[in-house]
Amino acid sequence: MDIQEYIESGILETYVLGAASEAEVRELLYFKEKYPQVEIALQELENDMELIAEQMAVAPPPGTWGRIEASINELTTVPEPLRLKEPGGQNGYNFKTANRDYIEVADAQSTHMTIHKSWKWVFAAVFVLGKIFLACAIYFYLENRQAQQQIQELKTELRQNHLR
Amino acid sequence: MKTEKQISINLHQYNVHELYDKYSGMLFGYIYEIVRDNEIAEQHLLNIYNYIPDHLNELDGEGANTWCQLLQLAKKYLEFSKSALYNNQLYRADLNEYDGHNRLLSLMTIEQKQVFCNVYYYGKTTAELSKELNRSEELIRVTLKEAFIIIKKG
Repeated sequence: MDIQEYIESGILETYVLGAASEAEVRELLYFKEKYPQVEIALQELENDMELIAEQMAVAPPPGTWGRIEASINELTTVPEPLRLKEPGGQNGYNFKTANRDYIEVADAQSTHMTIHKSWKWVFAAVFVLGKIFLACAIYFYLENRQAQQQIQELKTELRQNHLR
Repeated sequence: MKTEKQISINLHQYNVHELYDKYSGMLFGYIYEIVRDNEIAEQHLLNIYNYIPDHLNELDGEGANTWCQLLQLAKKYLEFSKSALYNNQLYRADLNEYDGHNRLLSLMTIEQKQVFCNVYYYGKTTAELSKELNRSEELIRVTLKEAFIIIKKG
């Protein structure tokens, strides 16, 4: 195939405008790899496309970027983590008002999870109760040991009295 | 300390902002020529820029012309918004007045304008146009090439 004839056929213009069929696209990409002149012609056409668009450019209304930025922020905002109690709610966490039906566990790749601050009181209570149970366990252990010693002493005393 | 997600969001905004500064006028002009309504064109522009963060890799392809990639993305989006293209056929009668903001279009013949606008604005393939206009695909491609030569000569 005469590559110059191929370039002149208008197929490159069809491709650049996205109007080529799949078979034409495959063929063109093959020729682009094989013939540098096809690649150069394509680059020139892409520059022409930019030229057309520049000629037809119209400034968007002021404030459009602000709206786009706000919209992107809205789309990418990280959802709030699970709450024990919704402020003002009566029966704990309200999934309806929070508009969410799952627990936030940060990103999939993260090794951390986030929880609501109100959990700190639960953890504090568990910690204090743990200490109380530990103190009680030590106290009753010592009491028990002392009682065992006294029993042992009494047994020894009784045995000595019996021998006498 | 910023999380990975926050950094990623900021990176997107930075890239999207750059793309907005450079191409928003071109993209708005392109959309306006299709919908012929400022408000609708602005809404489509907003939607397309919201659509970009998920497709930044496509725009950043090696050796790819960013404007052409952005245009393909816009066309893909507009294909899903069929309401924007409610009148997706340019008739001969309309084309006499279809110069829009572009001096280059006014330099084309009716046939060249018809082929170029149907492909450029309405994303029609040469096969579709061949059927509609009852001309061979080769002739459609040659007409398209002539339109490009006119654009190049300016």
